[in-house]
Amino acid sequence: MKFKSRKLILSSLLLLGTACAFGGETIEEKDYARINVALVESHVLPRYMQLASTTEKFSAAVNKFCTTAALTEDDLVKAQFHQVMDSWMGVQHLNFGPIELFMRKYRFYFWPQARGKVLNAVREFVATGNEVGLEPSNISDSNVAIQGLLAAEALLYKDTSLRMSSMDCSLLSAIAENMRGMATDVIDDWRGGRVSFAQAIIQPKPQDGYYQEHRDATLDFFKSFHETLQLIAEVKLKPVVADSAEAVQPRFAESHLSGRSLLNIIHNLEALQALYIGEGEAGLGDLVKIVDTELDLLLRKAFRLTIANARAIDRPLEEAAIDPVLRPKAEKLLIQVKALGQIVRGRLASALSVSVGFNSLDGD
Amino acid sequence: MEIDRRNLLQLAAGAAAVSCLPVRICASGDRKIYFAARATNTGEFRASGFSTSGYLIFDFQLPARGHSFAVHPHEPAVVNFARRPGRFAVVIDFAHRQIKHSIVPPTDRHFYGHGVYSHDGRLLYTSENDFKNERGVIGIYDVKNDYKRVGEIDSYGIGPHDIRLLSDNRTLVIANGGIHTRPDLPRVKLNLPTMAPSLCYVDRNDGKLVAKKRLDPELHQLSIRHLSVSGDDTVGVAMQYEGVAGDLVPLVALHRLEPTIGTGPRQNRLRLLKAPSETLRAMKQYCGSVCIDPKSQIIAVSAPRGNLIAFWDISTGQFLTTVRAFDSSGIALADQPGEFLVTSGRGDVVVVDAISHTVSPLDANYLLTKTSRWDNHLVVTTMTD
Repeated sequence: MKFKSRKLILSSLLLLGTACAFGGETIEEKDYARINVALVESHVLPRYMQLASTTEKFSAAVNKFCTTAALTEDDLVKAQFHQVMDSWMGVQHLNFGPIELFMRKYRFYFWPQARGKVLNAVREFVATGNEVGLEPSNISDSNVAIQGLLAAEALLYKDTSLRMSSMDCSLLSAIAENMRGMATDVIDDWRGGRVSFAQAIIQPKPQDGYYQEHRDATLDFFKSFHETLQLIAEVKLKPVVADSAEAVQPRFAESHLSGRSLLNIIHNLEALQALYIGEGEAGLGDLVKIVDTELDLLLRKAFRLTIANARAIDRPLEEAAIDPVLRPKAEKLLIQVKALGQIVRGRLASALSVSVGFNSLDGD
Repeated sequence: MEIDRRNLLQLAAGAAAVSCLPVRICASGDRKIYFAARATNTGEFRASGFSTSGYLIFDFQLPARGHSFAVHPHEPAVVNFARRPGRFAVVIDFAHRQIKHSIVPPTDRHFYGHGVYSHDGRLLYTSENDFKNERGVIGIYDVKNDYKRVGEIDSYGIGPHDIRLLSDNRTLVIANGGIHTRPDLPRVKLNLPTMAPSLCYVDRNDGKLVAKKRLDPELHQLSIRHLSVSGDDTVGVAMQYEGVAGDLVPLVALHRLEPTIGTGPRQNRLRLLKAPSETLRAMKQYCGSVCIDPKSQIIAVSAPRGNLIAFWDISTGQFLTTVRAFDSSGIALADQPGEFLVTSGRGDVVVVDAISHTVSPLDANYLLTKTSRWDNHLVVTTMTD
């Protein structure tokens, strides 16, 4: 879906003139504006709409399963769960905007913060037997560890068979409905609603906006890029791959219950690649092309090779890390993602002329 | 990488042989020595000391990024602490340009990057993380016994960061940032939905809590991080907001522990300093360092994400002005009232004058300013004859 006022906005952008010098070439305010519009329309909104769609289908599948108690439906529930996970991993890098409001980011997915604690939290909650407290309005005020995808995964995969108690089903239904509501609210807040965050990005206001100028919004996209590469390398890969096969700790793997630790990383990387090259429209790379074509080619190639290596592993990361054949690929993946992070931190920030300093990128 | 004492001393000894310039400690008239950690363009991390005139006094290689310093009250010694979640600290004798000791915390603790000496210089107090039990502690080290760890006391909060000692030589003031982290998930903030920062006053003699100051519940994601204490024990507080981007919240506060009346609790609250909304917006919810100048009664706060230094009048709480300073975070007293020395992430060392609003580069040819990225903090000591 295209943003309604796009023509008006694009024509107004032509009036912008602030320029940013870089090695003889320049990225101008209108360039940042053009990329921001493209990213909102072709990257952010479609991906959040996908999240809203998958959470809706998941909620419907859970309701059907729980009301009919038909075990034949369990595959559908799990399939829909994976669809939601895929779409979440496709927006996990977007750390700003409506997903920040009302702790939605944590309520959707409290990882790695709740690593190792979710199963217990779910068991404790189920043990209370308090089905009355499972209205969506109540669940949204509960412990963040039992509100989102992690708790849904725990309920779906804690046993080998999907034999749920009434309380399990009630909790899963409440979680699914809570996520559906949050995903809908996120879309509403991007496109209008209480915040109209798309407008905040597309038309920054020097005095009282989220962003004072177009470059500020591009900086948020850049930070998403950088922080997610760090997350993949330092939290998703490094603790699992470890220094040797003997030191691998499978329980540190993301989504190890549902066996999709590597798949999450692939979706993350593909989302970052899409942020860079664009999805039918311009991406961050189109800014880089203006000032540093070599860097642009390097990043495109680095993403291509990294994703190809990840896809070649074809097993959950915690299994690949102890497999003699696949372990070298897992180790290589960690090196590739770290290298991507170094390129992004060392060269992309200066190429984009975004103001990221030694003391400001990762504060203390 | 596990750092042990022997490796650290060997590393430092090697660095000392090649990195110290043959300089006088101070140029004529210099009275102040500044300390800051830095990274070089080649990726090395160093602990550096320089005089007002820019003479480099020491420049020791570190195993990882250093953070702030504690200055010994009577001897020419400083401690540079590892940046969180680091597990090393080095004691530097800056008169002889030597690393004298290394300090390694217990295996189930890590440093947060700050510490303070007792006024007699016998004990060193450091902010540390008891990460298994998700609580902050203050480690205690015996200076005369080769900085052997002799105990710890509770910080009465999660994530203690900056720590200072009041003029009574008894009351520690601790910035409990409220953010739980673990070394196996480096720099991942684990409890943002439930964080509860606090400013705690703790009796260092018995470890008892003297007073605990919290922000209003709607500001529970305002992490209390850095402190500056004036001679009359006014505490300047610099904070970082972990809530929603775009929220305009106060980032600076003052507090002074009121005298005890009977046995009742000390009631006075943190005094949040106001600033124009455009200044708060420009600061981007993040302060780097804070410094009180008792002579001018000005509190200076760096906002490296906003590329500015902001100033308030302490006595009235009135916002004064801002000065542009790119990626500047380290801030310490300069020679004249209202003047602050400021270091930046791109290597600048400048004097910022809060009264004239001027920014003047330090004449610091030895500081390799083009090849340095200064860490968040700058610490100063004044030499006496």
